[in-house]
Amino acid sequence: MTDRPHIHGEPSEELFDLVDRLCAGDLDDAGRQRLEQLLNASEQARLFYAEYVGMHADLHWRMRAGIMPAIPAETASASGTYALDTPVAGRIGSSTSKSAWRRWAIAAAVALVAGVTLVAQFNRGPVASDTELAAPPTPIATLTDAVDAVWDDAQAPTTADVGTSLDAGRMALRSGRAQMLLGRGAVITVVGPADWQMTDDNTCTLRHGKLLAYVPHSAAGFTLHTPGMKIVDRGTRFGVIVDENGKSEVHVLEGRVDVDAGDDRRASLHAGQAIDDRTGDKLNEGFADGARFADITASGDQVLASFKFDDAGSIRTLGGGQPTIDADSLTQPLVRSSAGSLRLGGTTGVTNAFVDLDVSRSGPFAAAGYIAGNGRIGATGTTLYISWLSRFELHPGGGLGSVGLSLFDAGDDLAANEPLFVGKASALQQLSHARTPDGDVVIDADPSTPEIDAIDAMTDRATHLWVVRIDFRSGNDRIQLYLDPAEGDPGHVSPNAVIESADLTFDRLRFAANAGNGAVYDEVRIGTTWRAVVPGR
Amino acid sequence: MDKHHHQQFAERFVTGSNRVFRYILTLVPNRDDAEEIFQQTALTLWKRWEEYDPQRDFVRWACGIAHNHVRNFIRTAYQQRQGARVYLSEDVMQRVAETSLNAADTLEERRTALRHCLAKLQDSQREMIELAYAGEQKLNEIAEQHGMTPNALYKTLRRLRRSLYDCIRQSVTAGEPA
Repeated sequence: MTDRPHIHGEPSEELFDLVDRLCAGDLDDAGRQRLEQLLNASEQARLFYAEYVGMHADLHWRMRAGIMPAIPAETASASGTYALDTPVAGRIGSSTSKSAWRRWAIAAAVALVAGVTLVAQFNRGPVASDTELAAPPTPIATLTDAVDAVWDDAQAPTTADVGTSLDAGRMALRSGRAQMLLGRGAVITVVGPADWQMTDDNTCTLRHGKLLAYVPHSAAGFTLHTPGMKIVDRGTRFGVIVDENGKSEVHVLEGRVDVDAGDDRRASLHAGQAIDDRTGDKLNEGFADGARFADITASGDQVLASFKFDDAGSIRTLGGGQPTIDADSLTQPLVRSSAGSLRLGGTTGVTNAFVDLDVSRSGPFAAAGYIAGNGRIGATGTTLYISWLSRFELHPGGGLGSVGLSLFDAGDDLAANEPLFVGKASALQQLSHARTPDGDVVIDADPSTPEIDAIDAMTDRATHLWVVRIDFRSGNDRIQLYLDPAEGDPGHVSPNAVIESADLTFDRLRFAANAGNGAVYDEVRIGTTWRAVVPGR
Repeated sequence: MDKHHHQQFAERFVTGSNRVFRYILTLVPNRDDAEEIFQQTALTLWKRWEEYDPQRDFVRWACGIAHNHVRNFIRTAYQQRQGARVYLSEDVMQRVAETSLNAADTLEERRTALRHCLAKLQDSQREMIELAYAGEQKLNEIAEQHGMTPNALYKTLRRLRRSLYDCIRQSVTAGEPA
């Protein structure tokens, strides 16, 4: 750190005045001539000029990029930029819930992405049930996880391997647990001893045992029968326990379900409510007890936050102005949009918008264990997924400003609070960035080839699905970015970028479209698994 | 095609682009002009990546190309606009360019300090800088929004730049080994 030239004395007021007027675009010809004289005469004056106008340039760059430019190349080049994902096989095999979920996701990917159909044979015993319907000829579900599962011989899939396709029919577990992904997207986890039946791609019957259902938007209307109840899901997560006597209790953990117990005994339950038919003729109401399902929920698909932009309610803007909600939503094959989307930049006058995440102790991120010691999202050892849709409408004059989504931490300040930016960085038309304060990473359009392929997503004015997976680790986190991924597990497709130059926490999201560029954002989801944020077809 | 080379080039391009932009804007302190030149420079760099020697300092190489674009730009601008903007003469520009390149490390350090100095501003001051430099609105519109005259905003921005400059200088000097 020697030989660094810097000014020891104050610049003269005259020099300061001339240089500042030059920056402000307010220097006349006489002023320019005088400035040239001063600059010609002294290296010190030139250095002041380089520092002052350099600061002016850095301010421009920073505001255009939306974040502070990156630190020197030496650090960024060590960021593991283009490394492909670790082979999936190397990460399977432990009995932790995480790896179980990985197996689940892999299985889903095998079934859904590769189109592999493994037809399972069932050894069906005699079933005396009025709920058994004619089985459709095609598989209706996939076995997505099995942990210490001991199957009842008469009611087991012939192949109990994860990934096996399941026909309609009865199943029974003596112990352990199993998880199934139904055709419409509902995920049920059953803990043995249990006896249940899947009747079609969105309907089940639980005779006894414990079952937890996660029902994404695509599977709303999922119906679960118990001996005494019909439970219709309205897009939620709920658990059901049926005892040996066929009595049921329902616990709603998220969203809403409708319960029909016959004889005009109906109830609509919201998150936090429970109901049972164990005593008397009436339904007994109570409070949902999530702890009863803790053995399952620890690894479930959970959407922890979502923003659909049907209205401007939760959006804050930087620098004033009302956010613009377009009536049209963005559409993408894997993500179903609701009405409305967030429009920024262009002629809207609003270029930066924020949404805050609930990081309170009673909030969803805390409940799922994502809150770090500093009170924000990013607890070491957790994995989080974020997805969103965007369409960039770059300014025809060049589209120099940045467009993209950022994570912000503990403030809205562009200089101090932005640990991650994903999108089209300023001035770069073809290349896009994932950017952290400690390094930039190029997003590679086609990670299957060794070179960096230019990305059309920035300029094609089409809607794209982005998915970011963050593995919060001790030390720098691992961030994987997927652009328009296929359905299924991220381990099966190469990420378009891998970033390992940031150790981040965050508590809000920022959407940006700067310097005349326009952008539309929609369907932002933050969840615990790939499937939670990319519900699929 | 040497894919590793291409990758190396892409990395250096991305990480060095802010310095190339700064270099250009130092020679042509108007933002719109600088952006136009930067865009042209970026295109040229991408067309010529195969010529890039990884042993060389990328930023210096890129700034050399940028400098040619600056010269062409100013020549054309004078022809078309006849002095509508004030640019430094070519020999002064050359000397400033050398100073700027030689001080590259210091300027990088100052950029890091700028970030901290911005964070020290009051929220309203920082917002004003952000609005002015975001380039979305004209200064008189920003002034109107803040109930100021354009002249008052002009003076405020000047004061803010000055205090940022002072803060950076203090911060860089303080970090200096004795």
